[in-house]
Formats: sequence, structure tokens, C-alpha cells
Amino acid sequence: MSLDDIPNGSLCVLDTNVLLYAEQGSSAQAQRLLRRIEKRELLGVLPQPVWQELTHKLMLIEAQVLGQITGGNPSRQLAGKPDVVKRLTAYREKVQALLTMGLGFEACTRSDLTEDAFQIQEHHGFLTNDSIILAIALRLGADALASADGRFRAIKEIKVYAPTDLKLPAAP
Amino acid sequence: MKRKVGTLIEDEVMRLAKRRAAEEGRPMSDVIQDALIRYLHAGAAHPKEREAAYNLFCNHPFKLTPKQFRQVLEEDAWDV
Repeated sequence: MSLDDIPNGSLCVLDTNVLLYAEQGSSAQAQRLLRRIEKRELLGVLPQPVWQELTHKLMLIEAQVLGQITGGNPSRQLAGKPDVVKRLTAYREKVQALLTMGLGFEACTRSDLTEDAFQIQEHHGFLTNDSIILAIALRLGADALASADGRFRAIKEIKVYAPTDLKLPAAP
Repeated sequence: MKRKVGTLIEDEVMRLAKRRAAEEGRPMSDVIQDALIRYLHAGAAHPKEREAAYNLFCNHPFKLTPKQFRQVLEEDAWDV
């Protein structure tokens, strides 16, 4: 099901990739989903790991755009340049914009990690962050999970919606 | 779409809600729903601020090359 299929009034948990596709204009569906959240047609929530990953990736993007890091392993490069990190500001404005837009912040609880996420990992073999995202979505009773990650489609407990209109950069 | 819900509310609050509904000639469920919507939206940004935030996020993308975007998508945020 595409992101446009998420019904109005839904409580929707969003994954990092959907937000990056919206920011880069790689998916009109992802942008429409954020527009619907901004208009309060549905409620969007980001679990804590999504806020963290998105913040990190937007920070890397800003550093790349400014030419402060080039080539592979951008995280390691930027970790070695704290003075550059201090000067980056646009990524924070982007994160703040999502909060202003109305996206909720759902923190990870102890039982999300030590009970539910562990159980999800045992059953599905997901890595830790994906398991926490799913655990939080299930705790919230979310109606929808918006993600381009095909691994989530194996989950039966929640409806997973993916962008079906991706304009991705071609592989080299 | 409306859904029937069962919950517990203090007698005094119910009495005030009934009185307000009678004064306004509206169903009590409308009064309760209005109060809940106001509560849920308290502290939320103004619609114009929300629209500006959307425009900042979606309409002013970072100018990445396709290769750079690919790197970011493939980057493991925990692998430093």
C-alpha cells in the first residue's frame, strides 16, 4: 500500500527514510504525507530512534553540501571535525520544522527495549533500532507505519505503507 | 467517523458538561469533543507556522548530488 492509502484520522509512525525522501523531493507521496500531518488530517509520530537517525543524517547532509566532508564514511569524517559540527545549523532548523509541523516525539521506554523490542528481535530478527521503532508503534496502537524498508512488510500486527513513487539516484 | 467510547468522568464534570450542552442547544458529545480537541491542540503551532515549517522542510532541500544522497541513505547512523 502506498503512503497515499493511509486513511485520514490515522495515528501514523514514520521511519527516517520517508522523511529523507520528503526532504529531498524524491517522493511526492512522502511530501503529501507530511502535508496531511501539517494540516492535521492525520497524526504523525516519530519514535526516538527516528529523531536521532534523522538528525544525524541531516547533519551529515549539511556537512556534505558545505564541502566539509567528501567521499566514504561521512560519520567517521565528521566525528573528527567537532569545529565543523559546531558551525552546522541548517539541519537543526529542519528538525525543528518537523516539530513545528506537529510531528510527535515518542521516547523509548525501558520496556520498549527490554521486553517488546527484544521479543520482536527474537521473532523477526530485526536489528535493534528497527525493533524499537516497531515496539513503540505497537505500544502506541498506531494504525500505520510509513517506511520504505521492505523488512517491515513481514509484520502482521500493523499496516505498513511505503512510498511507491521513489525517484532515487541511479547507482554508479 | 464517530466512535462510541466508554470512560469514567466525575459527576461534577458531567453536570457542567450537560449544563453547557443545554445552554448551547448541542449534543453533550459535541461539547466533550470540542473540549478534548482544544486540549489536544493546546501549545500547537499556528497553522501559518506549521505551513512555513512544511515549506522549510520540503521545499528547500539540501542540494545534494545523487551520489551524496545515496551515501547518506546507505549510512549506518551507529557505525562511526
